[in-house]
Amino acid sequence: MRNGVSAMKPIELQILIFSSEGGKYGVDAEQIAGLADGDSGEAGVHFSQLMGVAEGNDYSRWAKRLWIKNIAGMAVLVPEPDEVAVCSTADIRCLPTVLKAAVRHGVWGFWIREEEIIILVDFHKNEQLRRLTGGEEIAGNRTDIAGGRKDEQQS
Amino acid sequence: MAEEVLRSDAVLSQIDSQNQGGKIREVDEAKLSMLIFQFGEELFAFHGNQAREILPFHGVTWIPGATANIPGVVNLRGDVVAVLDLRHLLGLGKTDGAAFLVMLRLGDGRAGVIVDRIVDVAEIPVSLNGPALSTLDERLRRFAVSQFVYGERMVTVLDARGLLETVNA
Repeated sequence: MRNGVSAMKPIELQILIFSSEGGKYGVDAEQIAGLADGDSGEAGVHFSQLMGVAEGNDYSRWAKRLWIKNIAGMAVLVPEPDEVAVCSTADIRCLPTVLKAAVRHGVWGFWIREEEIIILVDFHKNEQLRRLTGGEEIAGNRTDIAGGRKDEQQS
Repeated sequence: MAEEVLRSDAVLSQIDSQNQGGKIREVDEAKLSMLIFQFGEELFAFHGNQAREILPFHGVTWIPGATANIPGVVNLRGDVVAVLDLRHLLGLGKTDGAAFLVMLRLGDGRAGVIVDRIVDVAEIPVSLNGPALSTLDERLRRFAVSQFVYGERMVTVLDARGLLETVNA
């Protein structure tokens, strides 16, 4: 067992990858309800804002709106995705304990792809998005580091 | 009269005895392995059993929630390790040329520490490793476990466990 990844049989996740402020971020495609061009008039929050990234005011790059399952009425504005790639859970690493502040932003682990570190984000765990969407507990499709996901329907 | 020991011989004998004693201490005295490194003009050290590896520093991957004390992470042979900016933690200002990453390991905990320059990995006699001076700057004293003289310079030994616990708090 390495860095907290369980001995369970690894499964494969489809990860939507995009780049922002020099970093690469990945979102489990199972969490995504939809992806569309960013010119819709619906409410949206910039990904950089959710991540606490110091971002300029050039929002023209934020080309897409990402709708997250079980989060209604609020899309996340993201840059043009780089790709959708298949990730084995065996290649996912847990957050070092000293980085627990990252959990507030929804960071739940890292995908080590060759030499590259892809920061995995679970929008259901992002405190700011939860506040913006009413702060209620968000149900369903939680990502579980130990080997995939557990669909925990909360009452 | 002939039985009397000459005073000069007694002195020489005493000196010889002291020298022998010194030699014996040198051989028998326990030593501590220290990794000595530098920030600006100041020298610091970690115990060798805590500093497990030295790597060239090529920058960190910033992650959301990172702080000035923990600027990001690095990929260490397929594992992700948090990196501490010790200069910031010790109140020594910004680095003017971080060149190395010292990997600390304490039990299950692990972290990298950015340092300017590696000076030496030295074996220090236990007797030379004394308590930290009370005149040491307060910001350093909270993490200083001891001090010793290396060459003609004072080296402050840092408490790696305390550093990790502080950034963990």
